[in-house]
Amino acid sequence: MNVVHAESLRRSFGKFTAVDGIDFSIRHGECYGFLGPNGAGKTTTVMMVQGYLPPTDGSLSVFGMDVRNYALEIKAKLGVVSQEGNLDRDLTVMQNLVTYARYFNIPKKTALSRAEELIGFFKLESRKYVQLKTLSGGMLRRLAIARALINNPDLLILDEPTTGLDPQARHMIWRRLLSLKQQGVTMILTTHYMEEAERLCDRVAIMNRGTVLMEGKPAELVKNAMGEEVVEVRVAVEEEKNFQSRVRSLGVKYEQHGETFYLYTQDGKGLMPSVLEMNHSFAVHRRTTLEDLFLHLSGRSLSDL
Amino acid sequence: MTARLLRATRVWQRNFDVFKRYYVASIVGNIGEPILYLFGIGVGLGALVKEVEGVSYLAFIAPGMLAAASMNAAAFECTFGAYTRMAEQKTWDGMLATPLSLDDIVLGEIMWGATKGTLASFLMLVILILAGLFDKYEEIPLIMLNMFALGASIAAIAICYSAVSRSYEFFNFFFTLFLTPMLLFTGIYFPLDRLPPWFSSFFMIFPTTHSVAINRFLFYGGDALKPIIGSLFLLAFVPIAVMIASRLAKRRLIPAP
Repeated sequence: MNVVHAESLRRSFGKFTAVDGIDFSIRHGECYGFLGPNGAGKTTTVMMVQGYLPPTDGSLSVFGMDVRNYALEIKAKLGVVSQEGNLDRDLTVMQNLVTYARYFNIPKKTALSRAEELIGFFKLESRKYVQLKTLSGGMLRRLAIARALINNPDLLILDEPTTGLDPQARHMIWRRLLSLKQQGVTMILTTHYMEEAERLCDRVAIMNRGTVLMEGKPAELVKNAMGEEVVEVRVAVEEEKNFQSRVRSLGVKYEQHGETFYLYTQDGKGLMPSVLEMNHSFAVHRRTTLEDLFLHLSGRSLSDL
Repeated sequence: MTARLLRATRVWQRNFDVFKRYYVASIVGNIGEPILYLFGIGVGLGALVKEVEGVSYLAFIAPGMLAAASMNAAAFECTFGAYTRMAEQKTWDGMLATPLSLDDIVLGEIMWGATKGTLASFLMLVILILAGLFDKYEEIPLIMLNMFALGASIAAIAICYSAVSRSYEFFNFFFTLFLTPMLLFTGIYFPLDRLPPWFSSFFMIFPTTHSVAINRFLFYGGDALKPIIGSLFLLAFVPIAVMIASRLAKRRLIPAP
């Protein structure tokens, strides 16, 4: 059975339509990502899934229950990490977990042992009894995820879980999320970090202006749209024109974003020598990634990247 | 209903946990002012006034000071306190991701505001007892019930106001245009029949007027009509005010589809 199922889901705020008739299904045990620029409708979508915002139109069920009629029942089985941190700043780390457990009506004894377990899993042992203002951004985010797991949720919703974190903190969170995934936790993730989506998500939906542009496994989406290999070349500004005409003469499909050229080819190895001959400041031959697909789409249709 | 009350209690417990850390500052803030007024005005002004309704001026204002304490505490809690949790710290948003609904949260906040009001008036009552101004101990439960109802009324009104406020600055209006008139014109400092009838009957729509009348009856007895009407008024007022507070909070936090 699908954990989440949406059909022609729509949500507007006054005249503005944030989500404009999207369909998606999320299966048990998978990590599903909503990607897209700011304002694409990702957060509105997950806020509907978590029963916070009632949909304007269309159908949306979570655990087989309609979000319009069963919000409280659905919320009892969800874990939510929202984009704007809403940890309880008046409480300590431990109190945040135990108080949250109480909202779920979890008995105190269970709550305490669960809290201890989560504090260990998220490496917050040394901060157990401190006020939140002494915690770093990465620790706060880890605590937010720990709090969302206090009720052993059947679905974990993460709205931009690593936005604003330094790389080390981000990797730490990715490791924790991957391990949760291995434990079989179903997850919904919104992000604008392509690397994050590639590492964590089994399937992604790329959104823009309230609609889903494409949906599928990240690797397949990239392969179908961009091929498997790319040669990325950066050139000096004054060399751009010259480089452009040289690339054209090679007859490969390319895209230009600023002073970086992306040469899409089946045979990157064969192409490299002729690229290296040209005047460039940086050149690399690599596999295509979601980021390439994203840049490709941004040239055409993604808004305000 | 029981389930809803249990969920609202979770919000109450959370606020109580936080209160335990700051209770001294919180209590001083809530009853300090009423105590100063009680003795400042009661003793100072009382020297100029012989008797009001058969008791000394200090004794006359004593029951009203309990109401003032409850009102003050509930109003502060559900303006600055609740607004901070709703708009600044997003504590309510965090709660909304759990099986608590916004109705539960609003009810829990009002229950908490009423509790703080009751606590403040109880401490005030202890001071009245120590000052020899009160000795009808058998009336304490009813007085406290009355103070809880008043606290709940003011808390609900304060939540309504918080739900439509855009910043802390807006609370100036609340305290100047609403709370201060309620302190002055609801029979706390002088009998309402001193005012033109149209003016005093306007203040009959405020819960404080009724609560003060009930307290005064419980302190000194007298005509039972006013306190009976007052009790009925509070019984109707609290649930309606809670409902409106819920409605306004919803309008602010959860945009209609």
